[in-house]
Amino acid sequence: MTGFRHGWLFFLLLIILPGCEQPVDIELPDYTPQLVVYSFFTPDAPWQVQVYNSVSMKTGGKIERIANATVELFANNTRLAELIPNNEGYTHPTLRPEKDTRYTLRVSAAGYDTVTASDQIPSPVPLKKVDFRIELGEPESTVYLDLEFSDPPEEKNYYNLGLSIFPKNNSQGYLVYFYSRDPMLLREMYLTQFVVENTFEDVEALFSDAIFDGKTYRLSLYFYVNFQQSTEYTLQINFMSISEAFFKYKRSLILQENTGESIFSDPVQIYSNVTNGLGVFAGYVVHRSQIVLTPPISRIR
Amino acid sequence: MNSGCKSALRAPGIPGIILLGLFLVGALWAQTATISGYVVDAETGEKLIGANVYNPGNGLGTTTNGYGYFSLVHPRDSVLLVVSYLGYQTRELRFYLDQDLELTISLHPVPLPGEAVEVVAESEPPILSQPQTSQITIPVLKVRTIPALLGEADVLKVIQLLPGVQPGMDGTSGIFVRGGSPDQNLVLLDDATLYNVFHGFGFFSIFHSEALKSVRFIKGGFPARYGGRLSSVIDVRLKDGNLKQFSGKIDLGIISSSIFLEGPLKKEKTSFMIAARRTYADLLLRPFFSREEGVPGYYFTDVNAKLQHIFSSRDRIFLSTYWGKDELYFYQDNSGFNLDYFFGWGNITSTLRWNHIFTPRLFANIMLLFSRYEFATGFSIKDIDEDLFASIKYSTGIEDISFKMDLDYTPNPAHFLRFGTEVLSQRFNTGTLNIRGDIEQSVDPELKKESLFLTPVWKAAFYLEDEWTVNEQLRVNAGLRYDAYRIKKRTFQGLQPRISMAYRFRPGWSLKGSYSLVKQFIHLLTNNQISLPTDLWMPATPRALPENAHQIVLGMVHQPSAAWTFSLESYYKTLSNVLEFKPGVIFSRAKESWEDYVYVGRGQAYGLEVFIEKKQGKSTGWVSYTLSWANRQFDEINNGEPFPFKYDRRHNLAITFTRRLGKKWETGFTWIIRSGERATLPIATYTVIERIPGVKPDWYMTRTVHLYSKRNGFQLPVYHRLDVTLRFYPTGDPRKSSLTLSIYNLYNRKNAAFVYVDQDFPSLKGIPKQVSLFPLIPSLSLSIAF
Repeated sequence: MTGFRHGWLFFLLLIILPGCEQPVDIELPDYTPQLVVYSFFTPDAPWQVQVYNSVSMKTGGKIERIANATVELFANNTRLAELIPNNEGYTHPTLRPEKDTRYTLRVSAAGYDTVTASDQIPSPVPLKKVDFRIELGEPESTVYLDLEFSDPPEEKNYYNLGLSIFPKNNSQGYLVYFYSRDPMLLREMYLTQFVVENTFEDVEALFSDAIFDGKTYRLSLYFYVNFQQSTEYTLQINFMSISEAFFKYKRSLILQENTGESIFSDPVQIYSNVTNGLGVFAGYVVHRSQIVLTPPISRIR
Repeated sequence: MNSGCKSALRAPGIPGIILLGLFLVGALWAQTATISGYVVDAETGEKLIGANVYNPGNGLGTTTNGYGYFSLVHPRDSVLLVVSYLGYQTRELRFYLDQDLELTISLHPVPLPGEAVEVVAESEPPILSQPQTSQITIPVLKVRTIPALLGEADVLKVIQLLPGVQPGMDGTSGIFVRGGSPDQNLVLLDDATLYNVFHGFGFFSIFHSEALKSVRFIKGGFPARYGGRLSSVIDVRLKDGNLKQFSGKIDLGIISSSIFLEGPLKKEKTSFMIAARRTYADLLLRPFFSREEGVPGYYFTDVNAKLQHIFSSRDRIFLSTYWGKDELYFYQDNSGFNLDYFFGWGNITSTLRWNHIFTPRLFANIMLLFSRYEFATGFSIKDIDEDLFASIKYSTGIEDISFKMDLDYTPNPAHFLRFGTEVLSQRFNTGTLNIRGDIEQSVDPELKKESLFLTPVWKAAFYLEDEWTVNEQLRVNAGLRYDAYRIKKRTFQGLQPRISMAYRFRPGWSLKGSYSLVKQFIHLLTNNQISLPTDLWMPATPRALPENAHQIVLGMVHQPSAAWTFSLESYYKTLSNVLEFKPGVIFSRAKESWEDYVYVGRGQAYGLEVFIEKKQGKSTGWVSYTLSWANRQFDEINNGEPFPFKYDRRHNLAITFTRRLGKKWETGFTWIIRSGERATLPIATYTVIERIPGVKPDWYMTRTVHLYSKRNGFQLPVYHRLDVTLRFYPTGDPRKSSLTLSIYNLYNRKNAAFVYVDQDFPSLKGIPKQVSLFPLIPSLSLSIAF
């Protein structure tokens, strides 16, 4: 394919001629560094908040974890506690996030504006039904998986689906690439990726209830396993109900990664729900199911 | 019976009053006769569009319509008829008019451009009395004398030099008119709509300058006969073909060559015109590649052709067609298999036109029109050893078939009526996959179910215009247009009032004003940066309603002589239901939910335009200056606040100058200086966390991203460029052979095509950098006429 590479070079030479790149006299605006706060909270895990700083493009600087911040947590406008530093940021030894509570985070640090952010854990949506069948193949077999759930009516709901698989006698599992022609997954894929395929393919799927609000929905997908490498696998289905802030943040990350700095598109601003700062404070809840996959007999646990 | 009597006595209503009024006015002019006919080029028989026909004695006058025909109702009296057209010698006819008179008036071209055209009449030139605002007729001959990138004369790049027009990225032919986007320009080629007017990713337009007869550019005060686009009309007419003798021209340029032929098939009865060109860089470079390693290439080609037949003085038929194609290809013959890859796009248009003169006062133009734009990509593989073949082609596009009828009627000297109708069947191919060969049976049928709107979408339109000469000072063009657009049992429709007027408040001076409402029933899914062949046309839907534009224009024209024109215009325009891709979307494959890709918003544009033009003399040219503002507003972008449009340039000045040097030499330059375009740039950098719940719920990874300014919050550096040309005419006639030296960007200004911010590590400091495309580029082209 050497010739083809030359072809593009030829084309660029022909159309663009000797393009020239050089520094340009544009003054970047003054920008005061802000606090960047991340916390994804769920009833399954203790509070964990990371705090960083942002850096002005005009002056440069260093991105660091802010170790001397004051991180306060409020529940339904009542102060709950001040989080304490640990290796990964700030946490609390006993408090756990709870459903039906609107949390507010307030973070302050010397030299930065105080930032706040609010969110809550969405209503959990369990999987009502998990069906699967295995089509044996050489060397890989295909696992067809149908997931059924009831979307709560009259509210916007957002989901994230991930599959991880654990070979027999191996606790070090891995994420599974799965495939689907589900219209909701395709819709989201076309919105966030520069693709012409008509099959969704990824290790996780982000989607909303835009086309099935309030209905029972059946999501079909498939993936491949190799029974020659392991005679048994445990599949873990992580079906997440996520908040709108989580969804918007995650989608903007996917868009930003897929678009890069393309000159054909306006740049993607990463979503933030942090007032006076950057980052995201978002709740989620995970419904986990496990399936043991063996050829030819399988069972749900 | 009673009912019938009652009906007869009933009040006439508004239409009745109008008809009665016209009848009475007509009766007042009972002592009149009609002078009608064509104004043609004496050497070629080519009909001249927009030629002035008037009697300076009483101020009565008209101009030839889009087909070279005029109809002038005049008192039965002695007549001095002055007929003039830019670049031609003015002609006087004196006669006594006692009955209807049909004429074919031949005008001789001025032997050498730049030599003074004799102006015999002292009457004010018609531009002052024409009620139309914001209209400029592009002198086609001028297109070929203006310096051009790589020597490729390009009418769209000449339009970029006019006030109110902002070009797109450096070097491209993109046109952004009064804050509008390129899809809001209605581009007509012999009345057929063109949906993509670019070759080579926008760097060249599809118009072959030699084949053009006239180009009319309208950016405001749209007459009711035009509809369907918000921002401008570019009405391009092809030459009809020389009725008197064969002639031709061969152009040899740096990137392309072309041939133009015209002549009579039957003298004074039937003529033809054909123009074709092709780029040849791919052919020249082909020897440097081997078929085994693969041969890449790119070319564009186009053909314009036209046939004209004159059945009688009252009936003429024309058949014109355009075919153009761009293709990027790669092919390889490698040990037993052949691979062909292609990425191409192009337009086809056809116009079958019948001009019929019912009476000297009623002229009909009846047309069948076809237009198709298609983008396609794919490949084919042939395995010679296994005797297997497979080909895959993915295509998108739009196709029109329409019937159109325009009627011009002159009931009396005070009124000139235009009315007509159009019925359009439109098909949108939003993505179709064709698979052939030995893999056809094994392909998932779902893959082939792609396109959304292969069933026709229908449009019907009606319009009525009255150009009313109220008195010697005031002329008004009032019109109404109705469009109905039906798609999938849903009809979008609307009345669109149009009015424009000219008031000559003193000799040589005219005040002008207009208001127009325009509706656009199709959207183009495109980005703001550059026109791509993959851009998709989509019909209006309940979620993406038809676009609307209201525009008000106020202006003043001063024409001290036929040579000089000074124009000052201000405009205010609002846009609604305009689309913008959501951030990150660079290509859409339109599925049922294509509206999910876009935001629907509104826009606003206003400005002041100055145009000073010198049309005659040894030195000609124009100065164009625009002071303008253009904003967009979307609830979902920029926190819902208005932001500058990508091509919101505050100042834009263009000077075009041509000077005749003796009989055989001509020189000219174009100098452009304008505010830089808008850009969204990063202002800060920070860390984001990507969390993937799965194997380890607490596992996460980070990456750094940018925080961007407000949408289009930066302005790129000032753009300026000087292009020069030197041309030699061996015979002294610019219509004949010539040798042209052009230099694009003479002082090698490095203008920013786009800007990005590089980041230094580890300091994280941003370094803005620009990419410039076109340095100083000389070009030489030879034109041989025969």
